[in-house]
Amino acid sequence: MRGKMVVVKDLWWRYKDGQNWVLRGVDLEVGEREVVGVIGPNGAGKTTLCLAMAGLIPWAVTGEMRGSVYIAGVDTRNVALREIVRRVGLLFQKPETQFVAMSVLDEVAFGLENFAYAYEEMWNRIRWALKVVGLSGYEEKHPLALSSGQKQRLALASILGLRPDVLVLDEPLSNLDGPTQEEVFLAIHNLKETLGTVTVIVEHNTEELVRLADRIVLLNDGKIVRTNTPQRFFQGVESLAANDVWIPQVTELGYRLSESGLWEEELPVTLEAAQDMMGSLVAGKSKPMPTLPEPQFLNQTHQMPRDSIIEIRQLSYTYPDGTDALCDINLIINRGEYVALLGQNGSGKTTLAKHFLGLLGPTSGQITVDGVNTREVSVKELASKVGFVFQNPDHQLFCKTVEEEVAYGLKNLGLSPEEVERRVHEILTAVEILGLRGVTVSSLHGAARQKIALASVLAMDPDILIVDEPSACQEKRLSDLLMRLLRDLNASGKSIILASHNMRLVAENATRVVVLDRGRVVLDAPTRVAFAEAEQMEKAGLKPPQITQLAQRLADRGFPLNVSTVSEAFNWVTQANRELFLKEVT
Amino acid sequence: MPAYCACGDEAGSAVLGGATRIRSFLFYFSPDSPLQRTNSLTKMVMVVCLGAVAFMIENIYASLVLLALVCVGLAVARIPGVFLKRIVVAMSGLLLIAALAHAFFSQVPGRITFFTLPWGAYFTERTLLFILTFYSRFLTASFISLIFLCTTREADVVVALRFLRLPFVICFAAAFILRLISTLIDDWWSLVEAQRARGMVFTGSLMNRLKRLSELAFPLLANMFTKIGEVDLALQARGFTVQPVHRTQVRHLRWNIYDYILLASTSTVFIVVAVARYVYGYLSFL
Repeated sequence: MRGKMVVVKDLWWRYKDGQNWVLRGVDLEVGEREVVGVIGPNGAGKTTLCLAMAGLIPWAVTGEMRGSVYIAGVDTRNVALREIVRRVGLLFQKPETQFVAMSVLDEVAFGLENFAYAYEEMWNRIRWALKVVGLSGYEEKHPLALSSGQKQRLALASILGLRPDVLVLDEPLSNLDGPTQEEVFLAIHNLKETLGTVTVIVEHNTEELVRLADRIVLLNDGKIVRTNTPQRFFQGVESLAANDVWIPQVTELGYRLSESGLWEEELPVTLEAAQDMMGSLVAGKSKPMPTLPEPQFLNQTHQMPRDSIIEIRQLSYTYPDGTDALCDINLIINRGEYVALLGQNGSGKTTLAKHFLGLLGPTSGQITVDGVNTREVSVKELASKVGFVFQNPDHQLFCKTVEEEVAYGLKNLGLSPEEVERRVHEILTAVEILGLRGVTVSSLHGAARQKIALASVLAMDPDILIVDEPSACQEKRLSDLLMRLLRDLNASGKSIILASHNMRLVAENATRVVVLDRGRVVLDAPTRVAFAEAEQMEKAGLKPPQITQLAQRLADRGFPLNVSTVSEAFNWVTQANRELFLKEVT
Repeated sequence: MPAYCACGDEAGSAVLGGATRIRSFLFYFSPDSPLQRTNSLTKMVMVVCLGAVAFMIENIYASLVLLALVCVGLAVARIPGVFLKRIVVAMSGLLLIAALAHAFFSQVPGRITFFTLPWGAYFTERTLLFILTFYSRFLTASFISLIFLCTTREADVVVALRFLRLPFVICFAAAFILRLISTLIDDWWSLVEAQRARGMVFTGSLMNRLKRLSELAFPLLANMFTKIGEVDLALQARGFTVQPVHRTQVRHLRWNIYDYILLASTSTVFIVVAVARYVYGYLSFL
């Protein structure tokens, strides 16, 4: 146990009234200055493990515990919780749940006040923490008035301010935009280097995790099923995919190349390693790659229908607190389009999306949906045409049973009981929750609630579907289901508007990208064209998918800049390789 | 040293993250409101003193003068009229109903009795004056409270309570309840938004509206209880305990000339009115 800051020894945990063990013999050791990433599907026990490492299990959560957790050599059961949390900072999965104060400043100060930090020191730490997460200047804002990404950053700042010896972060990157992710990474790295902070990060975003983690642990069904350095961890792609793990795009590319016999060495897990792989693979002969005709990408062959379904003219919106959220937006969305709304946290994506359904009315300008001015019709009328899937299912579910929840909107549309019954059955089958039909909504958690929220909107069969930064996108199995449903809907002629930070999903699904920056549209282009605009994207605080970043790094070798999916990159590499081979032979 | 303070004079737009107004209990208010220059304790004292004055004054003319002054105060506080309009209209209407209802149980002596009610109450020429006075006094007190609620943040009230050296548990409980109210209001709007997004309308008969609103009660309460459990964990995860341990605080009550002026003037008014009313018998109804 020497030199180990966190030791989890044969840990078993079962919640009070719970039938099953959530953790089943977990063994984990985290050494000083080590950063350990924990990944795994929903319900694997990741959050429970976090609670145990922070001492809240068994002190503040009731249940049955076997085994031990040691922090700096001390069994958490033998010291007061206050002494444990002085050393361990826990970031909860849902930021709203950890807010206890009524301003950003008070929120960050709360922990520092509890541990009686001196006034000067408190101020230094508050300023530092807010700067790290990019919230300087927001001190007097109410936490609930922040955007979802800003809330996440505030929750993180309130933990960072305490500068604990051990940071336990439960999905800290979800809902964060690229630059903020970078800042958070840098802060964790600095804490590690300067204070020797140990970090345990639960995260779905493996592409970012491999950059930071010294070791990755895969948790499934309450057990650790795999642990290794990032480089070694991702070598077994098939078994990871079976565990619903997001495989980094560059690793996936390497895997496909190795499957086709083009690559025989270790799979790359970082951009740098992938760059080396590509160099040695196709351009290792120190000559530029041949210029090849651009492959026929799916998006480019997709013929856009021309009739507009949403028209926005000079739209501006100011919130009651005086924040100018949207400024002079002009936009046309055509019927059957699949549009992604991108932008940094607080750039105005949700505000704009709410205008499509009339939930917000323009301060100036106008919006027409299917030829109707949103000012002239009720939300009820618009709701029959526009479906809105909110980010947080907790804000969307209010009926007693799953069936009632899904039927709610259908009844409001005035459909016959037979039609309501038919649609409820159909949609519950589609989202794979038919078995939960009569179950009480409040008794369900996680993925099931997200599926119900989605089903309740899809059941209304809207012409336009808005999906606002769905948390479902973080979990692979759910994300796959959601994207498949959206693709099917789009193929049947529905217009899809997706707001997401997951660039990979956007690249693989959306045909057009609209980038917002501080309430203005700064880029509006087909997806691949938009991602190829590196400078514009960077200005708007966005990072293209990892595979596009790789393409950009290899641009001087002839790699096309507008590659945005693994399949495209693979096709192009194999084609280029064949060309090179033929050239050398002849 | 940063100049953050409870309702601080420098807590202006520069620290509002793009916003130009500050969220109070009820509304967003302008940071350049003159009342923003005073601390929350001064405003609490003002509410107590002027509220007491409003109830002490029974003379209709004096009461109307005070009401007029308070209305000027509402304008000076720069509370956005568009937000105030609805609440003022609703408050005035409710108070008028209350005053009329009260009159039906009053026995105000006068020279002429218009009619007597079966339960002994009667209407005289002075009953109307009584209704007007009742209405004016309550409206004045309500408007004074409104000024406070529109220009004070929940967090600042807690700082004032701490300044008064109240036990930490009481200050924290007050803060927690105030925060819970904010959360409940936010959850309420989220649920209403979600209902509207699925075609629900809050129009129609009163019964229909009440039925619609009652549908939200269960999820709202369920959410609240879940959140209380989650916040409890979050509190403990950041070292909070109800045990008496040493704590520091980041906000302190700041005093400036405006606080002294407001405190002196409101307490003087209170003393003068109290003496006039109870020592010399002025400002009474009859």
